[in-house]
Amino acid sequence: MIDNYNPNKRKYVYYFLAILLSLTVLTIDVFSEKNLSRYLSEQLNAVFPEPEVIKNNFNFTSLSIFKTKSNLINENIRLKNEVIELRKLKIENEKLREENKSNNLVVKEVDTSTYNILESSIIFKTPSEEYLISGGENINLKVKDLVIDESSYVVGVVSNVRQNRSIISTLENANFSIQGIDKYGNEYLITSDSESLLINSVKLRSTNTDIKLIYTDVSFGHPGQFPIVDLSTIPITISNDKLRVQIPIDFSLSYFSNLYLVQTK
Amino acid sequence: MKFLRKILLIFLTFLLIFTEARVNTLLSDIDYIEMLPFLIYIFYVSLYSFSSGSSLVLVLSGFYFDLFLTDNFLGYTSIKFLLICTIIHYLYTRLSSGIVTEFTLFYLSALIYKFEVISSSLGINFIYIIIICLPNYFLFKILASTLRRDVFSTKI
Repeated sequence: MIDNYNPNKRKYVYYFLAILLSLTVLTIDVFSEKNLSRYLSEQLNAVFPEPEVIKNNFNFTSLSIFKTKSNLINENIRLKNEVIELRKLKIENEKLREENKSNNLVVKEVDTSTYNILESSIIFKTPSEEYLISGGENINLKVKDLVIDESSYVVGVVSNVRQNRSIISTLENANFSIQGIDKYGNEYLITSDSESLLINSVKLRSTNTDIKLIYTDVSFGHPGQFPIVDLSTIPITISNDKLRVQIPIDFSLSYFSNLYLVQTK
Repeated sequence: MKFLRKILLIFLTFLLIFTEARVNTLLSDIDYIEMLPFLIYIFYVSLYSFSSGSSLVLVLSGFYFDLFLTDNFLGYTSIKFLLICTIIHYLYTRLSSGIVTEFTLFYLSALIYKFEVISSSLGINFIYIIIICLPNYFLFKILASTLRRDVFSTKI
């Protein structure tokens, strides 16, 4: 009897039971259409620290040690601090100017009377190479809402919405796909392999090749018409009533990228 | 005390996952560098600390991943972590020890860990995983050699 007892086998049993437990939770989550994970995510929000902007209010002159020094040293320090503050303000001013410039670009490109444009930021890159951004149900974000860049081109689509954050699928994701339409009403399926975009026609109504831009459309569940790709510089050929184009992705998302979310008003 | 230590370990793994996500977000501009401290932890557990207690830690870590960092159904990542641990431990106990075997196992665990990325586009990802494995395996070796001095398990 003693020989049959193997502690190592028992560990495997624990792991097997843990897999069964996870499988049960997964099944419940599948059948509840993610309500379980959504509920737990909202309840356990405190375990997920969100990045906050660190405000640097530290001021050298407020330190008591300086008060006891001679006036000359105090004055010198005060002036130095002033210079530092001015430098900071200069940098901040430049940043704001740049931000303002990019915001103006988006406002110019997009009809702001029809859409809500919200600036968002990246919180995390998920293990499946998607991006977690700030803003979710709290700003009425919905799945299939668009993510655009400064020139109003679509760079991603909201794929999952939580209470105060969302997951976006971008052009860089190998499983990214989006439906588009051109000015002739031809419909396309645009997919990505993370290196390039593959554009395949789904329904061709016209054989004209001066397509130029492919847009998103309300009929595909998106907020409106926003350009996805520009084909004006790419030679297009239609064979067997099918259009197939491959263009490299010249877009790269990083933690510091400016992203804009588009919603219908 | 044992219970408190377990709770602390669970929160430390959450912190590890959070750190991994944060560091990789900042490194997202650089193509062939990715830090995988949580994979290092899983690999360490499967090689040197395969116990019933660690299965619970992995289940909860997987839940943390699914709830806050992925689009997956709750429980999916837990199953992935548990499978990595079980498979690697099983193979490690049956294969001859050596740096090549160990690295191959680390590579295998990274392949399962990055399963979603690989399944979406094969080919280049296998090389990509080898490249990101190298610094992470080096970190694992440093961690293993530091912790394997048996400082904590020494009986007084």
